[in-house]
Amino acid sequence: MAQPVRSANLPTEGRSLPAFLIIGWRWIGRNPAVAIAPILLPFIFLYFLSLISPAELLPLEIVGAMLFTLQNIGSWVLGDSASWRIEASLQDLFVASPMGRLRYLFGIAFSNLIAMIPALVILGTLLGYVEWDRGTPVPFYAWLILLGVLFALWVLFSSIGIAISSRVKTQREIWPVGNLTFAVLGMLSPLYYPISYLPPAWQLVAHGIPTTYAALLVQGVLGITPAATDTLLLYAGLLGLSTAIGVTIALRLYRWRPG
Amino acid sequence: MSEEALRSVDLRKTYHSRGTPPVEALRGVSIEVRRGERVSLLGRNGAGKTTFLKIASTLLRPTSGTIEIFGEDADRHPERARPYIAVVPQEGKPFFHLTPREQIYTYLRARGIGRETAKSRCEAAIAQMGLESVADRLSITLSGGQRQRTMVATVIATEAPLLFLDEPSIGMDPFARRGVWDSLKGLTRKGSTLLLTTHYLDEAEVLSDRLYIIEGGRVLTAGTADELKRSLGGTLKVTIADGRGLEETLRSFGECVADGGAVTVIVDPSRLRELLDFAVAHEKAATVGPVTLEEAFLRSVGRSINDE
Amino acid sequence: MTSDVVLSPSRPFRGLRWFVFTELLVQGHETLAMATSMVVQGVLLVFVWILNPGLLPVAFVGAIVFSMFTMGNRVLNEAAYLRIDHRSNDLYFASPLQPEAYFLGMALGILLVYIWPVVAIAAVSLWVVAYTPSLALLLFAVSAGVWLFSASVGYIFSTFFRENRAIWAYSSLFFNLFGVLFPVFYPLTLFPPALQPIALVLPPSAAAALVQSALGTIALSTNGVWLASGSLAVEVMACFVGAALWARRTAREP
Ligand SMILES: Nc1ncnc2c1ncn2[C@@H]1O[C@H](COP(=O)(O)OP(=O)(O)OP(=O)(O)O)[C@@H](O)[C@H]1O
Ligand SMILES: [Mg+2]
Repeated sequence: MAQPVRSANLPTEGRSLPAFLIIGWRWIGRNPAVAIAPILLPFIFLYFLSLISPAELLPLEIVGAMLFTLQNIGSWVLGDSASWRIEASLQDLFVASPMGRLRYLFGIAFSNLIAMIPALVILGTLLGYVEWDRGTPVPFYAWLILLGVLFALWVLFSSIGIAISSRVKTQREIWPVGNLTFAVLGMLSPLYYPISYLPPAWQLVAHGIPTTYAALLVQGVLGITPAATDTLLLYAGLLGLSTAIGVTIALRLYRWRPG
Repeated sequence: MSEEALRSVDLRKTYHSRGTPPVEALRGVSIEVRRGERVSLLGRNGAGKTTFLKIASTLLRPTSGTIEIFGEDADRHPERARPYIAVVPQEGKPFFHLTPREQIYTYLRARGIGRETAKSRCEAAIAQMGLESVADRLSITLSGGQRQRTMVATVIATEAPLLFLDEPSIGMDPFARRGVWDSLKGLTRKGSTLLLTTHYLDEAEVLSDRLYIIEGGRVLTAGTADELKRSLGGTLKVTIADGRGLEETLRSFGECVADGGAVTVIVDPSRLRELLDFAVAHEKAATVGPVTLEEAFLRSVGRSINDE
Repeated sequence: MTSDVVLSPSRPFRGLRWFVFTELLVQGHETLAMATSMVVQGVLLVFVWILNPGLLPVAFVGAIVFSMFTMGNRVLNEAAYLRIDHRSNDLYFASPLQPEAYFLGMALGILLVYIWPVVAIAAVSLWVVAYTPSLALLLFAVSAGVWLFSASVGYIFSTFFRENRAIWAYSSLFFNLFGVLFPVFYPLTLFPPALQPIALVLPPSAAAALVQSALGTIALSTNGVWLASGSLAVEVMACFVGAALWARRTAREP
C-alpha cells in the first residue's frame, strides 16, 4: 500500500483492554444498581428454585446459577452494543479505526464480565462451602474445569449477543429479542435440575444446546450427578464442538459493515 | 505511490428495505481528494452526502463502483484502510457514562495509541475544542453543542491521515465553529486530508480547497468556491431598488432575479461601472455586494431541479 | 385579517382517547415484544412443572398477576425511550394533550396490546385451576389493581432515567425482586414467616396472596386479608394519583 503521509506513529492495530477496562469500570462505578443487578439476579432465581425444589438439588442449582450468569452476559453485551450502534453511532468510530470487530467484541464482553465477577465469586464461595459442608469438598481440578466451562460460555454468549445486536434495527427490539433468546436458551438446558427430570422429547432438544453439555460436564465433575470419566470426556468434547459451532455461526451473523 | 487520499469511481448505492421501493442514494459518484486537501460535499437533505461518507469510511458497502483510500480498495480490503481514517458520524453521541476527557482518551487507546501520546493529544483536543470547563463532567449532562464538540475532539485527536466529518459543526455556536475551523486547518497543515459535509456555506467556503455539490446522488458541479461563484456569470451582485421596468436592459449585464420591486443582477466586475452609470441615469438606488457561495449553491441546485 | 384563538380551559386527561390510539398504532407493530412478554412467566412455569407440579395452580395465577405487574416495565421502557430518543414528550406536552393523559394513554395502549398473551395464559390455566366465579372475579380485580400500580410506578421511574442503557439493570432488578423473589409464583407460606407481612404489603405478592387464599392453597387470617386488600387498594390509588400529578410536574423540567 502506498504510505499515507504520516505513517510513523500511526498504529495499525487497535487495542481492546486499555479502552474497555475504563468503559466497563466507569459504567459500574457510576451506576451502582448496574453492578448490583447482575449480582442479585442469579440469587433471586436461586432462592425461588430452592423453595420449590428438594434440598439436595442446591449444589446443582448454585452451579446452574453460575452458568446462567455467564449466559446472561450475552444479553448485556447485546444491549450495550446495540445502543452504542443505534442510539449513539459510536460503533462507527470503532469501525473506521484499526480496532477490528473481534477486539470490539472482546472489549464489550470483557467490560460486562467485570460486572459479573462479584456474583461469580459469591456463588463460587457458596458452592465450595455447601459441598464442603456435605463432606464432598470440591477438588482443585474441578475448579479448573468449572473455570474453563465458564470461559467457553462467556465466549459463546458474548458472540451470540453481539451477533444479534448487529441485526437489531431499533432500540425497542433490544429488550424483547435479548429476553427471548437468553431466557429460552437458559430454560431449555438443564441448568437448574438434572436432565433426567425432563420429558424425553425435551431432553433431545436440550442436547442441541452448548449450555446443556456445560451443565452435564460440571455436574459430573462435581459428583452431583456421577458419571464415568469417558462420559465426562464426551461431554467436554461436545461442549467444545457445540461452542465452536455456535461461535462460528455467531461470527458469521455479526455484521461490522452492512451491505 | 498514489497522490490521492481518496478516489471514488462511479460509486453507486441502492438501499433496499422491506415494504418500500428501493432508494438510489448514489447514482455514479466519482470524487477525488488529493493528499492534504480539505474538500466539502454540499447538497440538499437526502442528496447522498452521508451515504458517500459512510462508504468511503468503510462503514457501508457500495452497490457498485470502486472506492480507494490511499490507493487501497476500501470496499474489498477495508481493514487496510482503517488505520488511516477516522470519522465523525452524523448525529453521533459520546459515551454517556464517560466524561469528554475519558471518552477521547479511551478512543485513542482503542486505536492502539500509547498512553503518553494519548494523554497529551487528549489534552490538546480538549483545549482546541474549548472543552476545558466540561472535560470532567459526564457527557449525559452536556448540552447538544458540547456533545458534538466532544465527538469532533475525539476524532481530531486521532490525527489520522484522512478524516471524514459529517456535519461536524452542527449545533455549535459561532465561537465553537471557528474553533473547529482552526483545528481542522491545523490538521491539514500537519498533513492530514479532510472530507466533510456541511450545510453552512460560509463554513464550506472558509474550510474547503474544493467543493462538490451533490444532487440526487450525482455530482452536480465541482470546483473551488471561486469557480463555483464565477459560474453564476460574475462575482458581484448589484441590487437595483425599484428596477422592475428596466429588466430588459439589465439582463444584458447578467442573470437577473426579481425580488419584490427590486432586481438583483449578477455582474462581472469589469462591467460594474457601466451598470452603475445605467442605474444613476435612471435615478435608481443600487447596492453592490459580493456573490456568496450560498447563491451559487442555490442557483446551481435550483437549475437542476427545474431541469428535472 | 384577524383570527380568534379560543383557549378552552384545560380539562384533566384531555386527549386521552387520541393518545391511546397513537400508542395502539405504535405498539401494535411490536409483535416480537408481545410474544416475548411472556418469556419469564413461561420459564418459571416450566421450572414449577418440572420441579414441583403440585404448585402449578398457584404458579398459573401467579403468572397472570406477574404479567400484569410487568406491564409496568413496558410503560417504563416506552416512556423513557420516547423521552430520551425521540423527545416526543416535549412534542406532546407542548400541545393540548394533558400530561396525565399522556401517561394513562400510554399505559392503556400498552395494556390493550399486551393483554392478549395474558388472556392466552389464563385460557391455558383453565386446565389446572378450578375457577369459581368469585375466584375469577377476584383475580380480575387484583390483576387490574396490580396493572394500574405498576404502570404508575413504571411511568414515575421513567422520568428519572437519562440513558436507555441504564434502565434494563434497574428494571430487571425491580421486577424480579418483587415478582419472583416475593411469593407471587409460589405460596406465601413458603416465604419466611417473619417477612410474610412485608409480602402482604407489596402489591404483586399481596394480590397473589389474596388469590391463593381464595384458591384454598393458603389460609390467610382475617387480618392478613385486610392487610393485603387494604394496602393493595391504597397503594394502587396513591401511585395512580401520584403518577398523574408527577406527569404534570415533569411535563416541564424544573
Ligand atoms: N438506511 C437507509 N435505508 C433506506 N434509505 C436510506 C437509508 N439511508 C439513507 N437513505 C436514503 O438515501 C438518500 C440519501 O441519504 P443520505 O443520508 O446520504 O443524505 P444526506 O445527503 O446525508 O442528507 P442530510 O443532509 O439530510 O444529512 C435519502 O433519500 C435517504 O432517504
Ligand atoms: Mg447526512
